[in-house]
This record gives sequence, C-alpha cells and structure tokens, in this order.
Amino acid sequence: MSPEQFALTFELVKKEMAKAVVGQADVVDGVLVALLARGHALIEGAPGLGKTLVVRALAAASGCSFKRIQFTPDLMPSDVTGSSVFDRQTTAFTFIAGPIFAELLLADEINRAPAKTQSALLEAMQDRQVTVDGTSRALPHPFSVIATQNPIESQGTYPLPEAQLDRFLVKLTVLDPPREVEERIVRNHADGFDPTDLSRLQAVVSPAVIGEMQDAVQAIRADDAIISYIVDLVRRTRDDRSIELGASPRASIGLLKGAQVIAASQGRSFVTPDDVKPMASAVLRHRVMLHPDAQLQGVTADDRIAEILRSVPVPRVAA
Amino acid sequence: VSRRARSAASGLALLVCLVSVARGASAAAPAASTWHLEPAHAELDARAALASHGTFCTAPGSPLSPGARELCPLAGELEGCDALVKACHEGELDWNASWVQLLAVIARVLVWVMAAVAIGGVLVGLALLVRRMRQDGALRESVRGDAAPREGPASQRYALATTDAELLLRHAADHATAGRLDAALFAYLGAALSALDHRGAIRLARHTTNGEYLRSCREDAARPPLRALVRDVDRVQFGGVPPSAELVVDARARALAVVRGAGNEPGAAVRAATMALLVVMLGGCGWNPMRGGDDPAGNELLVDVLEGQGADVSELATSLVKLPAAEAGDAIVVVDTERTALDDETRAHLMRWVEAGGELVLAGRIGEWPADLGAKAAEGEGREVLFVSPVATGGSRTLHGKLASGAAMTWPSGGVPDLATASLDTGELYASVRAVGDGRVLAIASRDLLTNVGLAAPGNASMLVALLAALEPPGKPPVRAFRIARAEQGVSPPSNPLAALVRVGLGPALAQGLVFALVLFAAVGTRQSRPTPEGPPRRRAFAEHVEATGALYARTRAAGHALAAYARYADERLRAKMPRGSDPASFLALRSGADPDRTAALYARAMAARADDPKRGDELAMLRELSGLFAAATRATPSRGQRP
Repeated sequence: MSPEQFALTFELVKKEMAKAVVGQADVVDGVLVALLARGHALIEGAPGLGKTLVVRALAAASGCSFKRIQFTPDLMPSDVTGSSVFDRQTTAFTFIAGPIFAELLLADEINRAPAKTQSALLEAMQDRQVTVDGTSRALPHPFSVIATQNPIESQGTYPLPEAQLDRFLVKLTVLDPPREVEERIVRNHADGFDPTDLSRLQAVVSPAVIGEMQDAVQAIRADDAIISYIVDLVRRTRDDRSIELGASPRASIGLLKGAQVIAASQGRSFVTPDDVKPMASAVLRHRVMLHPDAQLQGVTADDRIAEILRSVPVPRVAA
Repeated sequence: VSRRARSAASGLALLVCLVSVARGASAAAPAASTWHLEPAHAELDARAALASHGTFCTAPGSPLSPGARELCPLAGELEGCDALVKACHEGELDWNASWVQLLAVIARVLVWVMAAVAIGGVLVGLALLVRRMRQDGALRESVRGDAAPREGPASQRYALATTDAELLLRHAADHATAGRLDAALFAYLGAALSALDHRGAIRLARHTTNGEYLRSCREDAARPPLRALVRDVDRVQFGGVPPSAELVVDARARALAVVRGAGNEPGAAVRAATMALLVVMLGGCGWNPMRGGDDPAGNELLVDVLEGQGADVSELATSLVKLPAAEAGDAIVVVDTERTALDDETRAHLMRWVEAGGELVLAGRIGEWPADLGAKAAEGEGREVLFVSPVATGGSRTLHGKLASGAAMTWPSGGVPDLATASLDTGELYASVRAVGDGRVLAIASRDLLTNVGLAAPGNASMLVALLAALEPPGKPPVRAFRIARAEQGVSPPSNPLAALVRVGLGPALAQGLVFALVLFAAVGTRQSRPTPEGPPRRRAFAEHVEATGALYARTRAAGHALAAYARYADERLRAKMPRGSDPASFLALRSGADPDRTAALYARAMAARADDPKRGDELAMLRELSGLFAAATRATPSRGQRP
C-alpha cells in the first residue's frame, strides 16, 4: 500500500468514526495510530466523555472483531484469557477461549481490577499470544488492546504497574469537550442518536486492509537524523531533574512507530520531526514517573515533556 | 494685465535701471573708494530693494506677526503698500481663543508622542541589533566549530553563519553554482525563514520544526511558497530523495517569493503611516509659511541697502559668545535684541569683544542689552527723528527719518563724547555712536531702522547709513563687512548633547526614556542574555519537608507510619523538657490538663505503632489528638510542621 493510499484509507476510517464520535479528534487519531502501529492504547478520562464510544466506533469502522471486558475488582485472569474445562464426554480438557481472542479488545476501566488480573494482559500485549495450562495460543491478527481508565485519584481503583503501562504505545487523555462540541453531542441525542446502536456505521476497511496498512507503516523511511532526534528526546527524560524514572528504549521504538503512522497518514514515505513532536506526549506521558517534589509542586508529565521538546533542537538546517 | 499694473511695473523697472546705473558707476570706481557710506545712495538702494523685495508691501504674510504689527504705523507712510495697510487693519489672532489653546494642547501631546516613539524606536532597534549580533555570533562560533574536519549530517555541515536573508540567498546561489545542491536547498530555506523572522512573521528557535514555522507564519502570502519549500527540503533531508537542479530552481523561486515578496507585511502599513505622520509633523515644525521678503519685520531691505553701499553682508557664522577677538578690518556685527535674545554669558562676552576693538550695532529691546553699556530705555513722545553729524562740530549735516512709535533711551556719556546721534523731534535720544573701550557701538533704541518697513520709510535708510558712517574709526582700514546675528546665536551653545536636550525642555522626557529603557531591559532584556547554568537547588524549609512528607503519607495511605514517626518525635521532645525519671505520659497529662488514663492509653498506643501494622482507621485521629496534647503541654500553638 502506497503512502497516498494509506492516507486516503486513514481519512476514510476517521470520517466513518466521526458519524458516531463528535469531537475528540486527538483521541480518534491516537487509537488509530495505536492500531496501525501494532500497539495498544490507554485512554484516561472522567466518566461520560465517550471513551468507550470511540473504541466501539473504531471497531465498527475497521471491521475488526470486537470484544469488551468490563474490569471489576473480582475479575480473574481466566476471565480474560479463557480456561481449560473438563469435558466429560471426551474425558479431556477443552480450552474455552476468553474475550481476549478478538482483533480489537476493549478493556473497560482496566484500573478497577487488581494487578493480578491486569497482568493477564502482559503476554498478550507483548507477544500477541496467551499461555493457559502451559499451552501458548496465538491471538488474531491484527490485535490491539484499547483500555480505558478513570483518573487514578478515583476511589476503588488499582494503579497500573509500570510494566503494564509500558506495554501501551500511547496514553490518551480525554478532556472535557468545548461548549460547541458538547452542544452538538446533546443535539445528536435529541435527534435520536443511540450510542449503544452503532449499526449505521459501516466497515469501510477490513482486518486484512488493516494488516496491509500496518505493513505499510513498517516501510516508512526514518532518517538517521530522525532516529537521533527521537533518542535525544527519550534520553532527555532520564536526565530531567523532575523525573524520577525516565522512559525506556521501548518508548523510543514506540515514538518512531507512532511517527511513522503520522507520516503515512499524510501521504509521506518518510518521517520528519513534525511527525515526532505530536506523538511525544502520548507516547511518553505514562512512561515517566515524576519526582515527588515535582508532583507536590503541581508539575505534570505533560509539562516536563513539553519542556523537553523545547530543549532538544530539531534536526534541520541552522539559519 | 491691467493698465495700473503695467504702469507700476514700468515704474519699478525704471527705478531698477537707475539703481543699476548708480551701482555700475560705483563699481567702476577703485575698490577703496566703493566704501563710501552715502546716505543719498542708500535712499535709492532702499527704493530699488522695495521693488525687488517688496513682497512685504504688496503681499505680506497673513496674519502679521506681533513684531510686524508693531511696525504698522509706518505702513501708511509707504507708497503702494495698500496690502500691508489692509493686513494691519485685519484682526489680530486671538491667542487665547479656545481652539488655539486646544491646538496647542494637541501639538504638545503630539510632540511628546513623537519623542516617546523616537526613543522607543531607538531602544527597540538597539535591542534587535544586539539580538541579531548575538545570533550571528553564535552561528559563527558554530561554523568555526564545524570548520574542523568531522563527519556529520548534511544539515550540520551546512550550518550558515548569518541571519541576513539576502546574504543567505547569495550563499545558496554560490552552493548551486558549485554543484552543492543540498546545501543550496538548505540555504534557500534558511533565507526564507530568516526573512520571515526578521519581519516578525515567525520566531526562529532551535526546537521549532519546519511544520511549526509554517503553521505559525503570520504572513498569509508567504505560506504557499514556504509550504512547497519545506516539502522539498524535507524530501531531500529526511526522505532520501537526491537533490536535483529542478528542485533547486524551484526552491530559489519560492525563497525569493518569501524574502522579497513582502506584500502583505503587516508592518508595511504601519511604516507607511508612521512615515506620513513624520512628514506631517516635520512639516508642521519646520515649514515656514512666510515667503522671503514678505515679512514687514524682516531684514531683506537692510541687506540690500548695505550691499548697495558695497558692503559684504551675511549672517553671523558662529555664536555671539564665540566671537573671536576683534582685529582691524573685522566685520561689524549687527544684533537686534528683538530678534536675537541674549543670555548673560553672551552679553558679557559681547562687552569684552567691543572693548577689545569690536564694532557693534545694537538695536531692539534695550533691557536685553549688556548692562555694562549703561543704556536705559526711556519714554519717547515723537515719531520724527533728527540726525545730527558730527556732534563735535555742532552738526554739519541733518537728516530726517520716521519711526513706527516713539522709542528713546538714556545713555550716560561718562565723559565719552558721542560721535553721532539721532534724536526724536521731542528731544529724547534715539540713537548714538560711541566709543567703548577700543571699539565702537551704534546703539539704536528700536529695531525700526533694521526692518523692511522701517528702511522703506523715506529718510530712514539714509539715516541708518549716516549712523553707520560714524561708526567708522578714523585712521583705520574701512570695514566692508556686516554680520547679522541670527535668532539662536544669542544663547551660548550647550556643552554636550545632553545639556542641549535639557535646555530645550526634553530633560523629563530623557529621564522617562531612561526609566523606560531600564524597565524594558528588566522585562525582556534577560531573554537576550547568555544562558548560564542553574545554581544548586534551594534548600527547603523544614515545614516544607514536613508538608511534603505528610502529603506522601496521605498519598500512600501510610497513616500507621505517620503515627509512629510523630510519636517518636513527641517522645523525644517531651523527654528533653520533663524532669529526669518521670513518665512522659504523666508529664503530658499534667501539662496539658488532659485525663491521665486517656493520655496514658493514647501515648502507649502511639509509641507502639509500627509502619507495617494493619490499618485500624483511627491512626490519623490519634495523631491529631496527640498533636493537640503535645502543643498544649509545650505551651505552644501547633506549627504547620506539627500538624498531621
């Protein structure tokens, strides 16, 4: 698939999703980037901002098989991965696949389940397989986990461990919509829009096409200067005094992949610094751990990342 | 052309012919004999000058100046000066009228605004200049660093050492000619960005991407060529596309469109408006609506009359206070104190100059004259003037003149005889020539004889020349030059530019400008400074540490640990205060007045608390209660650090 075809298909999916999702352009772009970069997305926001609707709309527009797991405190790992059940007739254990065997998995309110259950997703997200009773089973292709969570300060939640967070390519923050967008949302509902019924959305692509797009992303060229720029950005998070734990090399890889998707979505066959900078916050914000002093001073990860972006020179001709 | 105008013109032409013949005859004589101050010639010269410079008579500037208005009584004495008579009868401008006052206020405000804009413009310009110099210096240093052989990406190798867009364009052309196409492309992009930065459309920064420049560009017209330029450069720099001649040609066209096609530059309109305002303001300041010779109080006739006598007449070249020591044959200096105000230093110098041998014609306001001269203004009754010369012989020649108003003076002789005098018909002294030290002074009680109208009146020109003739010292070479002092030459020049500004009343504006510059520097000047390493982090106050620790406990829900830590803190403090061997819980209860049993239980529980104890939920309540008891026992209000 050429970059031009990629860009057209990308816009087609976005346009179809826009039939159900009003506003939230950054979140829509983010989940698409995660899907096409073979990554996973974590969406954080207060209840009622349309996090789940975005994922369901993506599933409908992309034609991918879709499963949803509502994470609760009593959810068990086997509820996610599936389990072997003894079949009396065959006198053997039969594997009953869990909801994770879907091309698009919505892990709703993932931080309401304890760490043990959350960790059930680790192997799936990293190796795209699950191991139950010593047997590894491959997950479908494409496969992407899109998790939602309420802000960490909410009661009854379990913070995601760093290892789990690092598996997510991007963390997207959903903000309150502007007034005019909110009025359009309410107007749509007054006109009969039902968020539980997305049947009017059509699958404009297929999982196979999504796979082709993922392959096309791999072919996007990244110049040495771009790679150096990405590494500079990520390494700078480790030297920042306000950051106790910086981003890992996996973040560098994720940043490159995200930039490749952005470049392809604009019909380009190569990455520029303009593709890297917009992805930096989404890729890095959940991978850096702020120093307690910085937290007490009200500094956020986005603040530090913005400062880092301002401190690293972009690779271009000096004028 | 009317018949009357033709006859007037022919009459004037005849006068000019007569004067020319007379001057031609005098010019034919030997040079030494040309300097004959001849009153009769003076009258002819005055009439000829009236014909050539008589605009003040036929079309005087309107409204008349106050000085010219004082000469109006003479207007009726002149033939063909109906226009002047009419102008004299026109109403005088009411300087107290409200609209005039309003205009004055507006003018003052505009002047202040102009001064502020000028100072601000200079300061901003300097700041921009400094900024640019720093940028250029940094780039040059980076280039010097790159000059050493080292490997690096093309964008690094072709870093350019200037922010001048035109220079970058030339660099790019040089690169293109030399076959360095990628460098040429980068230089063209650099030129475009530099030009936009210079015009304020973007702000160059190391961290800003080309796309961000494009999106933040404030010039709509520059965006399309810049977009195409950025696309091509990105393709070469990041896309691995080899640069081609076609790309360079396109890039050149686009860079030129950005650099030189500043059609929608927002500053252009502002600059044009500013220039227009400046032109208007400068015109208002410097444009003199009075044409040459149309001022009745002007001195064009004086110049003509003196030149008619063969004298060299010009304006004084230097300030009066800088007149060099007079020598024989030096020029006679003419000072009209109505026109040239004198300050004390100038008056003193003028006296010294005369006493050293200078020859001075002093007229106008007598109060402005050097006090050492001893002349005082006096009331004059008549307007007729009678000249008597020489005084010593009782007068061998008498001349009659006419004044606009009676003006007289008293000038005690002090034993020095008058060389010539002119008196009013009522007997008061009007003018006198007297030796002062080694020099001579012709003092005239009014300026009438030096003005256009005054000299045009019959008899006045010959009287002036007769007085000047008496100024000639016997036995010395004749003086053939007159230097007329300008209005500003009576004031000693300032010693430096600052003093000049202060003298003209711009001292407060200067002070305000300096304050403004300081404020501007404090506000934005630090942005231009060189970045320096940050100092060591500020040490936190103890209370801040306690707050941070408390917040950390709260976030980690470590209430048990907090209780244990506080109990040990309280125990240590109590043991430092209580008598040796006593029980801390009893001491706490005694001092705070609390129930001893309750206090003992609370204290025991707090001291037994451990960080890894299972949560009971009342740890914070216990901590708060213990804090209250501790504060009461130590007779101190709980500080911020003591609150849980």
